[in-house]
Amino acid sequence: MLEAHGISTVCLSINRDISLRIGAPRSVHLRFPHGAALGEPGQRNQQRTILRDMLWALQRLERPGSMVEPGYRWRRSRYAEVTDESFGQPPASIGSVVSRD
Amino acid sequence: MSWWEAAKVWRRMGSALETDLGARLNHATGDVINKAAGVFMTPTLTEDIPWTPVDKPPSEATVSLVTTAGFHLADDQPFDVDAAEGDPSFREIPASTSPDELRITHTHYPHRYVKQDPNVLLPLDRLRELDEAGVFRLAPTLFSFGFGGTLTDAYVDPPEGTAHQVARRMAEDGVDWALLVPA
Repeated sequence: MLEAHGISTVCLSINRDISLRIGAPRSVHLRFPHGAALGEPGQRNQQRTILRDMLWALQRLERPGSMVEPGYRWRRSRYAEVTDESFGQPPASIGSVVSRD
Repeated sequence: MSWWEAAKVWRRMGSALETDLGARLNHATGDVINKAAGVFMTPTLTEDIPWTPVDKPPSEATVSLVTTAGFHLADDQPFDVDAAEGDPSFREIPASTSPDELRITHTHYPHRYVKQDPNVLLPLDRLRELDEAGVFRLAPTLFSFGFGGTLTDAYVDPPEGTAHQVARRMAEDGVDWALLVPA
């Protein structure tokens, strides 16, 4: 809906089916609990990583309805420091991408 | 008022989610809940997906954020948590808001994580850091919805649907990109 108003969007998805079904234009799917979309409390690297992934998705995904799955595991994955520069430097491949169609 | 609201069904569910057992059950059954919500509560978009291409690097973009976690300021009217179909209204959160000025009214998710660190649903600290570092320009306003049920017309019908109102406010703020974070 925001896209129709000229605003590019990316959403965090904690429910793969819903995000694909409602046609979220760009989404990043994480299997995190309800109420913890950006990860564990107080974890700056984790939060920055997820924000970075969202900005990468904005810059890289070209097909409406695409979803990236970074595959982070709740409480299991480890997150490195995220430099400020990396936000604007998405790699050629940003992980596994699925789309609705 | 419907029987659902009179019985305060959502409020009771919210209290249950705040208990340790409630939160654990919510996590353990997360896949089932997500599947059920997908099947029963989610409309299927059948038309083309609206799309605004990204045409600039983050350093030139103004970025805002929308969450459905039920955030508001202490002076704001809380969300109506008893309404069976949810409350489609939103609140504006100034980008300069500090964590202790935030309040939450929402009965559909366990609050244990967000109470420890509001950044897990509204990453104000992280966004401000990135703005200061020049990664992008943080918009002056972020937005929070509460529990909205099933994407009713109150959200989507133009021109007064609340989603359209948020879009217009963002346009006023010069927003290029919006991050959407579910509760």
